[in-house]
Amino acid sequence: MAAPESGDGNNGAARMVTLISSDNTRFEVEAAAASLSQTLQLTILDGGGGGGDGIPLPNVDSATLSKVLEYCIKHAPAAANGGAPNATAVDRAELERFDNEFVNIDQSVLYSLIMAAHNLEIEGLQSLVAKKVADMIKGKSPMEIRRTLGFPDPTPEEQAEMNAHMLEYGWAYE
Amino acid sequence: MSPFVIALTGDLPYSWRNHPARLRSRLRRRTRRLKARGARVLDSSHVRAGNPFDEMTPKDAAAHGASGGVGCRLNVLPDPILLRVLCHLKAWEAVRTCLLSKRWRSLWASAPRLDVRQPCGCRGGGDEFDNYRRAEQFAAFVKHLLFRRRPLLRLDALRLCWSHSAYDGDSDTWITHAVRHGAREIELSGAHHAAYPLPDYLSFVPRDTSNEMRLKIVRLIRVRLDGTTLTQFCSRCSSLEELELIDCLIEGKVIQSTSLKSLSLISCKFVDDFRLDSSNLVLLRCIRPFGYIPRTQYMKHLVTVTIVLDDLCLRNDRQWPSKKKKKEEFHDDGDFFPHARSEDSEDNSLAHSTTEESGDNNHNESDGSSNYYDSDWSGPSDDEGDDRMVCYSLIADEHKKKPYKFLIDGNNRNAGSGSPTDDCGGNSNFGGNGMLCSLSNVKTMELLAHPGEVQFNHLADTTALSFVYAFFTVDDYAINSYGDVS
Repeated sequence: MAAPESGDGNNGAARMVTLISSDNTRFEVEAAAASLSQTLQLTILDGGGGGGDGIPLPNVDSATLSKVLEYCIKHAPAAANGGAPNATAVDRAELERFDNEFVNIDQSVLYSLIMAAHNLEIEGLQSLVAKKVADMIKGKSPMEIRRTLGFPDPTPEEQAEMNAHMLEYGWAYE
Repeated sequence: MSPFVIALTGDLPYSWRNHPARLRSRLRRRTRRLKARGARVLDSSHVRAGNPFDEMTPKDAAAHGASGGVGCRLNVLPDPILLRVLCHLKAWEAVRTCLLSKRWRSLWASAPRLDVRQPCGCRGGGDEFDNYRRAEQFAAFVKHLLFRRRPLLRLDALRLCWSHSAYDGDSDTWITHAVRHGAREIELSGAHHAAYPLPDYLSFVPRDTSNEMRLKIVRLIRVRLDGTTLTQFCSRCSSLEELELIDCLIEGKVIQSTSLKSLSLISCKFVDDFRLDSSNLVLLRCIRPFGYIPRTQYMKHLVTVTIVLDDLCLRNDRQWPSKKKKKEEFHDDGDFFPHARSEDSEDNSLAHSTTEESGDNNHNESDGSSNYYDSDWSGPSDDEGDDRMVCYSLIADEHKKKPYKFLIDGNNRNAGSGSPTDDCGGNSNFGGNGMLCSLSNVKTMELLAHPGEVQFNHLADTTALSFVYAFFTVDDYAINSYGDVS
């Protein structure tokens, strides 16, 4: 766990921080990447997470955390550029492609991810995942939405409610 | 004596409250309630227990069991996350989610960003009555939606379309609602409405003066802004920072605002004397104005300017060259390329409405009169104030004969100094020469044009000027069809 010259985070060789997932796996990442998380940012600014003592994240398991960090590492350079005003179209397209692939995952992972993004307050990831869930809802009939999102089939009374509702907002389902 | 009284007063209500008859009825009521609840639980558990059995026989029992768990997981996510999901949905997509569970039923309307754009049907043809019915249904729906929102929840952004079920298209009411709930961002589009609707400026202003103005971003698409509306709107929305007018009919004479930082005027039609008086602008985009070109004041904070002029869109009045003044004091921009565009001459009427989205470069090579130019000047702003007023003028008659060769017809007047560059472009000047030579205070410049469109006769005269010429052929069509011209 050699944390190379944690120093004051003054550029230099990138400062590393250690994050510890709920199942005690340690992840070492650049401070810049971890700082995408608003929750972690202050801790990192205060010099936490360096050296041997990591930042424990009891809400996030290792599988999810590795996924989150994958996102952070990819997006850290662009974020460091301050919203990347001078990023080339190629870079942006590349990020977009990455994002698209990134959320192309199993739903249960997606929900872990959404929860982790929420807890860690990673703005970009939050909206990315929210958008993904929204995409799963878009352009579907209520029953399809239920199936896609894995809700159980409606009970008869729910079904009756649904019918009444669809009668009321009939045009919204056209 | 007194203890008795106390006992009496203490006792009487107590015993009254606990009178056996009352207790009995209460007990009965409670058991009934419990029974009802218990029965319901039993019912649902029965149904739920029934489901697996039913599904054992059908094909995908396992799959459904697994995904059922996932659905429950989605359902227990905290509200902010679900609202965030709803932000990405249009209102009529969001309404479907209220069939998912009880929780969603209260949730769907409360998304902080509402997108209720239902295009007005009156321009797309179709049955008039049917359109009207739909518009009415939609209005009822939105009203319902706004009622269902959780109170005290902020509405951040509202996007809506004008629809003509009511005299004001209902949009004023909805905007008022949004503003009252602290909207930061409002978009109103009249794109599908037959006439240019006129929004009510009062709806953008909080009625209650104690309400702080939070409105920062306003986009208006294809609406009419008359003098009063424009003036009042700009002066009353004191927190407005970003204003985007697309395809608007601007009848007002001035956009005057001190708070405005970013202004985009895209394919708008202006009246003759229109001027911009927003001294704190940082970004200005004036893409393909129709009729006349807006005059600008000196803006010392201006950093980015994108201007795309199109001969075909501008009026061929003789009087206006002397009035058109533009100033440049531009830094780098770099984003004008996406806005460069061309169109065919037929398309340039005011009714034209299709290409303002997304900076497309869809050339119409069939008629070959594509033109563009746009100029982007980057220069250290060694401010000389009014000296650097430049006028643009466009010729409209010559391009018909020589369809490829028009450009910004520079017709400049150095307003401040009355310099000799005044006459470097006459009314019939061609090729942007006048404009170029009027840029003598600018140190660097990037110019986007077709090859052969600009002649640099006057450049030699301009001292202390190092132009960065960048001739970009904007796409292959341009090269192919215009290569021979240059």
